Amino acid sequence: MLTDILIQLLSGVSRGMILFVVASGLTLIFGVLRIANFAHGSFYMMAAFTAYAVTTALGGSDLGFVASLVVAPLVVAAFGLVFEFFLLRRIAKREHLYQLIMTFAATLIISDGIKMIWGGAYRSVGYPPMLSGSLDILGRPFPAYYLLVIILGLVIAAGLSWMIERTRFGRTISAAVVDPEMVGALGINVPRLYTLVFGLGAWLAGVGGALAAPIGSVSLGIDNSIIIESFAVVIIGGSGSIPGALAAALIIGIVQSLGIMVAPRLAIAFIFIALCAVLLLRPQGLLGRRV
Amino acid sequence: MMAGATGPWRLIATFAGLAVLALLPWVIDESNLFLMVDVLIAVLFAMSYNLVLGQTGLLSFGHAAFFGAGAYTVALLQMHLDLPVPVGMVVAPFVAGLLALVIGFFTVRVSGMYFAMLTLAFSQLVFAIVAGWYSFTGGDNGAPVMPPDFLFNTINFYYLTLAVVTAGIVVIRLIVSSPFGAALAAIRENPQRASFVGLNIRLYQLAAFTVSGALTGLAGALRASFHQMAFPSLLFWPQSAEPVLMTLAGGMHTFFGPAVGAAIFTVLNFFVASYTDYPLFIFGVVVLLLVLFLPEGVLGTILGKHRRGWRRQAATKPPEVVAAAPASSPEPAAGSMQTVQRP
Repeated sequence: MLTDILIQLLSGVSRGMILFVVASGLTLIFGVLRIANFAHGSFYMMAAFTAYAVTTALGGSDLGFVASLVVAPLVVAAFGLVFEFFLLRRIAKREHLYQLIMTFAATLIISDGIKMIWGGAYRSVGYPPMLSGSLDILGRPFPAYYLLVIILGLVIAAGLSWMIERTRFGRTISAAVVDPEMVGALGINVPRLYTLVFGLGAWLAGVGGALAAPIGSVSLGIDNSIIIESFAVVIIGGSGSIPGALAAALIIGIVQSLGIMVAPRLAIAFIFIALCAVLLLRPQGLLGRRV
Repeated sequence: MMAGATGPWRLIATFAGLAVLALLPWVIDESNLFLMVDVLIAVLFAMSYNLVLGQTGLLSFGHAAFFGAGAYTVALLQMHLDLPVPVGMVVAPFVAGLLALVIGFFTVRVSGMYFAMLTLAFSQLVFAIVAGWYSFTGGDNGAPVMPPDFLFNTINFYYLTLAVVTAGIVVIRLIVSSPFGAALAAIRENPQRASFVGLNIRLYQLAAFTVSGALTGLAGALRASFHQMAFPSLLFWPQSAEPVLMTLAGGMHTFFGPAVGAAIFTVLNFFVASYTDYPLFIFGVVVLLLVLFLPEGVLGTILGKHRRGWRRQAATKPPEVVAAAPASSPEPAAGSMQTVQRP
């Protein structure tokens, strides 16, 4: 029983790591541009399909997996940069409602766009050959791929923290999260910052999508659950906070994995209990700043 | 707001529109009348929604929960308690309103984009429960609704819908022109100032959210009765986007804008879905073009031009402007105001 819980805990952590990678992009976009990017789930889905295409083109080899992990996020990042530069930026001066609606329009277009290219059928991407085995944890098998996900998630968390703490770009981001107007007044090119942050956010959604592709099925509609969970992460963790996103994503991943053991169908309800508790006690999120 | 130069004309136009709608079953055939029922239901949905967005300035992305709650109230009351459909329709707004009260209790604590994300998250929770609870709701299979014999007739259902929707719109109109409505507009325009003059902002927002949710539930009840089925997809988040898009397409700063948007979208949806395999793509492009080129919506743009023209004429006669200004000031004038959405 205890080992069951441990295994569930570990798979919850790996699940939470993918959620973290995706939601960290969402929280950066939300923190800096102040837009709830509905298209974020679509970016994730787009990356999963691109990863599928790249992996299949290279015959499901290890090289194919590595290539998909590099190519898919870049494709999505490029899409995000173009989308921000040519569309969102055009209406940057208007109420944020319009930008939100524009990202929603993007979800519709991307969804049918993927259907046009790949059709509506379910696809699956296997684990890469070198990680297809499983580890032995107290006598129970644990997929080696999940371990890779956990490690990569930690690497990305560390990389983002380093970037935000140590680089000029990162310092500008955290300044913009607190006070975008002041950042503009200090002579920073705010529109360019917005485009770059949006591109970075899309890239992170892409990494999440490419990482998730071998785990679940790659199909239309996988954008729906990830976007809701990512919003929950942003609210629980606090807008623009990377450590907050990591904590919230791990909580959600673990709560869901353990919840599946208790009440499979209502596992999602556990997220909302956490969400309500946070809202009542700390409306600004676990690690967010009071706005 | 009924006063002022546009008062009598507005009234005449409203009654003329109502007369045309009442005569419609003699003019168009049954399949078009079927579409008209869907249009009217969408009109009530969108106009109830705009009580929250246009009037109060809250961007809700979770109204599907209330639409679905209304639909499932009718279905489940019949399924489990054997209560007839009309009873369900009466109960539906109360159930939906109660749900809105609970969700609103948590969500009005935050504003702007947070509010949008939270309402979305809560409606997804309701969706997950309804879709997952097979023994109670029928899960993915939906819950059937058996309307009484007289409602099987499309013409009868059309008149029922027309009556209910008209009543709903009258209620919305009364709310908008009441002191309560004025308070909501004040909160939308400047929440800080509204709180300084002593308005309990959260309480007002919660009240508006609850009423809007209740009326949305009424629309959902009509929908389930008409299509003889309540589906989980009525609660799914793209359904929440529908009233937002309709309101935007018609013009959220005008009273009948959401109705115009609802008609456009429902009819467009009907034709797009029957002529292409990629309806979402077409919709996405339409929405994109609307946001880029017609931000005030169709009716907002038409009325906006009209009003500007009227103002320019009025400006040549200064005394009239002074006299007209106080009378027309509570009216949400298109183009002249901004909804506060920033967190």
